[in-house]
Amino acid sequence: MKEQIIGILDDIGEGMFDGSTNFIEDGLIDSYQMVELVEVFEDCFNIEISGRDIIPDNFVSVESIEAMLSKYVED
Amino acid sequence: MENKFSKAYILGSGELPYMVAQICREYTENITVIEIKLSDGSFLEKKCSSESIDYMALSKDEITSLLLAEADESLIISASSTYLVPKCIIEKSNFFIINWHNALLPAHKGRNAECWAIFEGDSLSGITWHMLSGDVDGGDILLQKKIPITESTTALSLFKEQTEAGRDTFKEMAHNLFKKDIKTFPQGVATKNQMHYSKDVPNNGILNLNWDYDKTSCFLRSMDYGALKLMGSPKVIIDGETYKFRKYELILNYEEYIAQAKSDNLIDIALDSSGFIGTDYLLIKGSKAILLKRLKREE
Repeated sequence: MKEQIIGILDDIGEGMFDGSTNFIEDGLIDSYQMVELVEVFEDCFNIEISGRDIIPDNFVSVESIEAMLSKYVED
Repeated sequence: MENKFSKAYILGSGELPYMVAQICREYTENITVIEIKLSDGSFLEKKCSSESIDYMALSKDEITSLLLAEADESLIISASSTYLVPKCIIEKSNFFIINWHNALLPAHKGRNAECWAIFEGDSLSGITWHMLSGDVDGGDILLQKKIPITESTTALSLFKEQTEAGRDTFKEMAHNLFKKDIKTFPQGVATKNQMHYSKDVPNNGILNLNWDYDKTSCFLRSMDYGALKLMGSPKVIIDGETYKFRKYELILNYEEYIAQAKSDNLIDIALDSSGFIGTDYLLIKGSKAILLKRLKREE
């Protein structure tokens, strides 16, 4: 899953996310982009993400995104 | 930069308070951003922290107490805030209070104005910076900016445009605002009662199959906050069963759409009437159509 997340971020950010330790504080993801990303993840993994999970803490890094998505994606 | 205020308080949530705080920094370093306390993490808190802007998360009562105790000459900017500033704060003579509302006042006062402007088929939306009068979204106007609503405008895309217009217009008026050299003009009289409450949802969230294409499109786009689903997922009643659906596609030329789908081998049957296609539902409206995607029957 991690590779897919990195692939999606690469497609969207064209390498912008490389080297960032906090996507939110580094200004790489704003609240609108967070919503757009959720839609991309929903389509990619065929899941429906709860509004309760659309919070900045779940979008600070590839690891936090992966942790959030793993609740929805079956192994 | 000339500044007649000792402090600036910015009340709100989301992107706009942060954008406004950044502009205020050109005039004063004494800025506090206040957000109604949220149970989950706050986007605004993280943005403010990254820029070393003072940030507080308070309950509505705590905000009132804090402002009541403030004795300094202060500029209070309410930007995308659900805190209704009480009269005891508005009446304080050391405060100059302005509010951003995401509609062309006096139209669409209250909550979720972006949604209602689209649902009601308005061709224009916009934003208004205004003084506070004590009535919800009442008070004389400082500045307005129009934003066209097109056939592809959704509630989310309009709110984003309104936020950006809020930032641009605040920047435009900031110089005079901090000088307290601002001209205002009264709100006109609304042509119809347009006060919207947070409990209100367009047509209770139900798509009426008898609507024409334009009304159906307005409904779907007004409910469309992307993954946020602020208004919940729209529903449709087919043969007595209620279905929720997650996505939709507006098809402006159905004939071309079908021809393309056939040439791409996506379909091999003639679709000349509305009906289910797997878990999707096709609604044909004259030469146009709407595809409701991934319907799920409600238990």
